[in-house]
Amino acid sequence: MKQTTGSQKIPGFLLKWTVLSLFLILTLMPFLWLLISSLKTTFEIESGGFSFPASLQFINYVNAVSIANLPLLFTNSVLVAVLAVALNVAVGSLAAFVLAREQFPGRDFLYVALTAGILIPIISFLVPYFILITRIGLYNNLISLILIYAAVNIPVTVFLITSFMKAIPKEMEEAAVMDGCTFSTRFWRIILPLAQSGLATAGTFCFIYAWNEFILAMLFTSSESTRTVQLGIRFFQSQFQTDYGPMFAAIMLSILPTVAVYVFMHNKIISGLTAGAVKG
Amino acid sequence: MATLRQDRIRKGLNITLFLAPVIVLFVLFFLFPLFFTAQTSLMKWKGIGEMEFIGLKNFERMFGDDTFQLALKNNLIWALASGFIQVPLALLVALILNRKPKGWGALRTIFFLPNVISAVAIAMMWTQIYNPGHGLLNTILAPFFPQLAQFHWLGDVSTSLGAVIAQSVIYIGYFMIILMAAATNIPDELYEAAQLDGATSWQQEWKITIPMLRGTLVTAATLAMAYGIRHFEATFLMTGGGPAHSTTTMGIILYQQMDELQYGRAGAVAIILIAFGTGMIVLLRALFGNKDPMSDASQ
Amino acid sequence: MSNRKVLTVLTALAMGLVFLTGQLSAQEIVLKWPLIWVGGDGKAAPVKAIIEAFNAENAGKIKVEVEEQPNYDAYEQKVRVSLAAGIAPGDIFTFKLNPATAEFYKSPLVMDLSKDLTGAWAKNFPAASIKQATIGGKLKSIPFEIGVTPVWYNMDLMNKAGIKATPKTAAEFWAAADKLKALGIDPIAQNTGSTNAYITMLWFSHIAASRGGANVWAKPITDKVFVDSLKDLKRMYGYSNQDAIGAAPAIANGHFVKAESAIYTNGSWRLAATLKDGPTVYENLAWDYLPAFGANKNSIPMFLQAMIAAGETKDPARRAAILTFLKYFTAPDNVKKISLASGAMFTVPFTFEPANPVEAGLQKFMTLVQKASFTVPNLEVALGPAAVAEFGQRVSLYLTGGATEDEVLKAIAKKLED
Repeated sequence: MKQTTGSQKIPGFLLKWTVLSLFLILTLMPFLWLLISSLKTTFEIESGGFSFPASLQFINYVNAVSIANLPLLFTNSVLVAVLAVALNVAVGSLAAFVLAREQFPGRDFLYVALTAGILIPIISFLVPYFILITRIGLYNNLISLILIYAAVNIPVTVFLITSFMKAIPKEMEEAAVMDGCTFSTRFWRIILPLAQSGLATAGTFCFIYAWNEFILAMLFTSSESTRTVQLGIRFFQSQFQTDYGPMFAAIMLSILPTVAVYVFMHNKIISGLTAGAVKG
Repeated sequence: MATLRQDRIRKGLNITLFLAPVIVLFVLFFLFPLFFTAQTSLMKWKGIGEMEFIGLKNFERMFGDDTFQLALKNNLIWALASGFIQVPLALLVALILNRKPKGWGALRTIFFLPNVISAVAIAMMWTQIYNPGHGLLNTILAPFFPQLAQFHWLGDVSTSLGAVIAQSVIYIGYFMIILMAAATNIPDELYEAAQLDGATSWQQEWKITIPMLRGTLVTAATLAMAYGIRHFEATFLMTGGGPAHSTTTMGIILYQQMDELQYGRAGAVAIILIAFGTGMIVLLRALFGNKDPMSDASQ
Repeated sequence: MSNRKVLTVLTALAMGLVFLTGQLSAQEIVLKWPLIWVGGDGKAAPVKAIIEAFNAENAGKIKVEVEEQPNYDAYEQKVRVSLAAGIAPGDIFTFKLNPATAEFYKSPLVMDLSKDLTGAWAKNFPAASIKQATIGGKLKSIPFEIGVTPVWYNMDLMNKAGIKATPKTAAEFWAAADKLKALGIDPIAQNTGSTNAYITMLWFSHIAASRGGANVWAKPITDKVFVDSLKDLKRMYGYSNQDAIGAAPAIANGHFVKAESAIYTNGSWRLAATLKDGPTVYENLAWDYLPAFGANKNSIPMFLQAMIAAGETKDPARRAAILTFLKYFTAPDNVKKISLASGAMFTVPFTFEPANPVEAGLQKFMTLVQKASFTVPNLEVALGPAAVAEFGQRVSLYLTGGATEDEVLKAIAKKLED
């Protein structure tokens, strides 16, 4: 037994690091390409390839920040994304709790109906959304984006959190029920903390969606005070040509908050709190 | 002391309260638009003026159109590739990272990175990689396969779909974090016991991690396949569905119909897409549903 | 007592002021314009200056407020979606007129200007353009920006290949292509990708005009003219960049600017970018008609690129304000400012002395239009987005030998059925 373990170790080690290096190259490539491109002239970018720029175009970043007014757009985007995530995860986890841990008539139907929402190509909803938003008077109001982003992500969120809540062993809850826990205490004190990694995952996906969404943001806002960072990125695309240099600089700047959210959510919540909660 | 009947009423009330917010959002942002789309799918409507009822003509036209049939087939290939290539690869990486090798924290962030980068930039990168003249891929391949030196991966109908699908492996980080998050909930005691029994790492993964992740794997595969069914953006940006419609998808046809102000037909495409995908989800649930932890988790 | 009097007077004054301000702000009419000429667009600066000057001139009466719309695809989506949802996209907005967008003319949300674009104002526009913009007796959009796409030659490369002047016959054209190819380059720039296969579509339009005349697009698409035009296009592809299939227009633009191709076609909006990215190429540019591949000489593809439309209103004061602005904006002096700054061309004629290389190029474009035996729209504008999308898809396969002329044209014909 011991010998097999020993002889398996070296190929296992090799295999492991081959897989990791391969994916490291694959996933780092877009980032590096973007980073290098953001320091090139537009002409150099269009000429293609992975070559380095003749001279580093830091001016792209200056243009991205000043011409596209990124600071204001960033503020709007943070507001929209954070509130959309909060609304989405709150609403989604309430529903997921009863879908995962309760029996009631129509549960499976509701679950499938909500889940099927994942399939919907949102672009086919542009006209009805426009009718809805203008009728309830939220056109050119950031609330419209918060509501839509939270709603559009409900299917994925419910689907993910339900799956995480289903996986929690029954025994953990039974003890609490014995102790006379009420319905909402079971949700708050037991299931929610145990499903935190699911909430973080769903929240991350919702944040990325809200941060990167463009068509709806363009459709429902009309003044600079309600525009999001995606407009800043498109600011350099005009009808006949795109100024890729500053556009890629704006993209580089725009991905930083998403990476920060990702790192925060996953380092703090997953490795810290949840692990403690399960063991404790 | 509350009676059984009062208990049941209170429970019903609680369930209703917990579901109310989701139902409000769902009705406003899914059911109403879906109803609107279903209605337009039965109409001839160019976005201006009155709609004209034409029954199932839009559906007949779509199903009779060879480009649409091709799109349906391509979406099926996308769904299978996403579910059965992306997710297993994501599982492999998640299992390795879950053992916390050196630098796992940084790797976990890097592997997810492509998911936050604008699709516009990534599509441009890939068209440059696949470029027949100066593309990176041909530069690497040329010394080994000189006949491929000028090959146009995205421009040749025999390789275009494969090339567009192949680039999607960079997105496995999406499914990796779902699987890793689920894996953090597996009690350490299980592994400790297995180690005492002398199980190798691979045996532990095979006997403990994968069975414990089974529900999450089904979740991830369902999500991946759903994304495959509604796939649009990367292909649209890289090939526009071409050449000769070889990479087209239902999402691209939907977009084109809207471009042409054919809202009735666009509605029909949306309804077919949703119906097709829902059928697939129900089928997946029927196949894997009995192993779903849901059946034993709920009282 | 006196205190109270002072107070009363002050209160009355304050109320009067409030009332007056209210009256003033009620009188000011705010016009919303979702504007595409913003951001990196060449027209952004002059258009902004014109709007600011107008607002200053009409302070307290009319104010034009711009909604920035830098991404053109998203902008078109917004126009379509808001019209479909029953709301005008703006008090002023622009669109490209083609068989699909002609549908906008049926919308009661779009203002009919046929009674207004008359007299002195109408004299600023060529009668042919006004006729083109009139559908069913209604003029719901003002013909404004035009696109003119002659053939561009890199004379430096041509000279290297031993050719001294731009080709005047089809035989000379193919001979030039052969000589250029012998230099080791792919002489003709093309692209068949994106939504409209832009440069390849323009080549096809050139050839079709030369073979079929001014009314070529009135012929059924399966006509022999188009079969022959496709054959010429395929012959051209033999001299084209190998990455043309599925490529975006930027690829073709790039080959020409880098002197990797010598023959190219595009609009005057490419002048400034060509000068910036390829100054040595720009120095040696020549523009001309495509030599007659068929019976017709000296034709040039020209089309309406942007139409200005207005949102319908029942308020006569508001309507008057919109008209005041439209007249101001389309005045020849203002159009000239936009044209010279951006290299774009407009229906409104004006004269000028070129002061820089881009303006010199622009003037040559205008001369080509004036001397053309006829102008003809390109395939995209004539047949609409469905036809051009299908053209791009099918022609990619056709050029690489995977389809016949008949298959390509029948597929397009099917898209044209309704």
